[in-house]
Amino acid sequence: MNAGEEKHAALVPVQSTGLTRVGPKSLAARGRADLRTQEEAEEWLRKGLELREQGRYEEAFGYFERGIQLKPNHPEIQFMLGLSFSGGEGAPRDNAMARAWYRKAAEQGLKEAQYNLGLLYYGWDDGPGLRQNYEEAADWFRKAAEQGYERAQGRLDLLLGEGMVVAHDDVETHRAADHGNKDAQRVLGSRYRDGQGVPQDYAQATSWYRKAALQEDLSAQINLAQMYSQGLVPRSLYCHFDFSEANCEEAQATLGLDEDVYLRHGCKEAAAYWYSRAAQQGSDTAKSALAELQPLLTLERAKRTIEMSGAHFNFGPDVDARKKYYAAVQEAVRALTDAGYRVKSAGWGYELEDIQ
Amino acid sequence: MPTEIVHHLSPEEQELAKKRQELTILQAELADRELFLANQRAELAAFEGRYLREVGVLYAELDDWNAKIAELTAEADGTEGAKSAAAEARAQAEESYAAAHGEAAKAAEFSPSPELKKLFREVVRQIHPDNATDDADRAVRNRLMAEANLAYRRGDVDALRSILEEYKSSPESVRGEGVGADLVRVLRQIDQIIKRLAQIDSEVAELASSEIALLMAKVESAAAKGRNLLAEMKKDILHRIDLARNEFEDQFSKMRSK
Repeated sequence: MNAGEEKHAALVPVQSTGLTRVGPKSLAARGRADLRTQEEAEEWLRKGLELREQGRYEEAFGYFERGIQLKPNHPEIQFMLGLSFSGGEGAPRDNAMARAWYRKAAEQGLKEAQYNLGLLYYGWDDGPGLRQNYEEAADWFRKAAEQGYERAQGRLDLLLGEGMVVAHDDVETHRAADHGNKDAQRVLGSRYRDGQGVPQDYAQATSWYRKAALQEDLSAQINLAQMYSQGLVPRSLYCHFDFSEANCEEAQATLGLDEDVYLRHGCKEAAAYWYSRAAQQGSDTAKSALAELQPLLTLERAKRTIEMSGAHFNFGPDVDARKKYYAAVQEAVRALTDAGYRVKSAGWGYELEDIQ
Repeated sequence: MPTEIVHHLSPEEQELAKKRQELTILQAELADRELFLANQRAELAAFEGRYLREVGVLYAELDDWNAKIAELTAEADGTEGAKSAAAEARAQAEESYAAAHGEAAKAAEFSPSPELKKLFREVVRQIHPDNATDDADRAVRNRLMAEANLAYRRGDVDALRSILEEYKSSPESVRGEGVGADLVRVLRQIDQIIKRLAQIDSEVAELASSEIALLMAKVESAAAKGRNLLAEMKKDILHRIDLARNEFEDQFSKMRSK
């Protein structure tokens, strides 16, 4: 509690102020008397709730106060006092008072109070004297969520997803990742890639890295590129891969290929794609990896062009397309010859001669 | 044709037979009522034991913290008022402790078996002091009945059996002779039983209005509505204990820092 809260909380009676000598009453009589007091306090609470329903907030607040005088530890009454202060309903609007009452009820395990206290810390309702404290908010949301309060879980997920608070355990890391937290997504990607605490699973690793990479998480992009260039990404995931954003024709041309073509060529295209996105963010690692990959890519693209050159293309009246195609083939032949390959004419097109 | 010999009962004999029938009915009723009373007592004692063990001990603990706070205040203030308040709080704490940890708190749960109930009814029917024919007989019956009550409370089937055996073999169970004497005895028994039945009624009423019975009724009616009142009371007192402990520690550290 900060100093302001301490001052307000002093309005809540301490234990010994309610002390009176019970006298030589039997413990049973004392229990009954306590129960009667509780019933009376609950009666005030019930009447107060009725009045609130009718919008008679000030009268309701008076009833809650009478209830709390009888039973200072009653969590529901404490909650209603908190609600009155936080909404300025029947009492002057005072978030510090609201927080003091909510806290008392929340500490007794009332999930609604835990949730509302969390909201106050979350800064849902900004009032004077209140500091936002996401970690504190998350702690109260957690407590309410543990009691099955779904709204609290939703708020916690939001905090986790936005990366406002640190995940406490693996379950929360997953929730954070599911709710779009790129750090959590990258962490999960690495965990699945390396089999840390989970069975190694490259498909899971790829899809988590990819989620983070799409949010421009630099190290997720580089890690994903590395996984591609090492051929660790299953082809099934590559087939679903979306290059359209990159406007990368060569890469798109390799989608849906055979396993061996995928491993030889498609993987490298995808790696280059992610390296280039990382390079756009200024990563030197990505830039040099991309430079290293470039000659290999040129060669593979040329090979693909030659391999495809035997197919019958019906360009119809589209002269430009035909010209473009022949130019590409000629360029590929040149690139391959430069690299020491031998290319020979075959059928409608060309083919590579096997060389050692 | 042989003459049928009909034994005509004398008016006195007729009266005796009628009264004996009446007595048998009353004895059965007495057995029922005694069993009911014994069950009420045992159930209440069991509930009281549970209440004291679960809730009473917490009151005692709360009172102890409160006494500690009062003592600390007395030490700091040094006024006569604070001192006497502390002494009173301490006395309260000791009282509560004694009540919560006394004999009553040891009462075990009570759930008599049908066999136990049947045996107890039999004991009441045969041994009840109000069936006594003379003072010596009554003395024996009183002793055995007291033992039977304890045995029933304990759920001790063997003890009840041996009480029955003991009475059967005692000379007091042998009846005297003579119609006139018998009639006097039967009338006296009837009178005693009727008095005892009235006494049982007032004892049951007294039990039912005792604090512990009222508390038990409250707890049971709440349980029927799905509420566990004892648990709620425990939670409430535990919370008050927490508050008192915090308050004590606050005061203590404030005093130390002075």
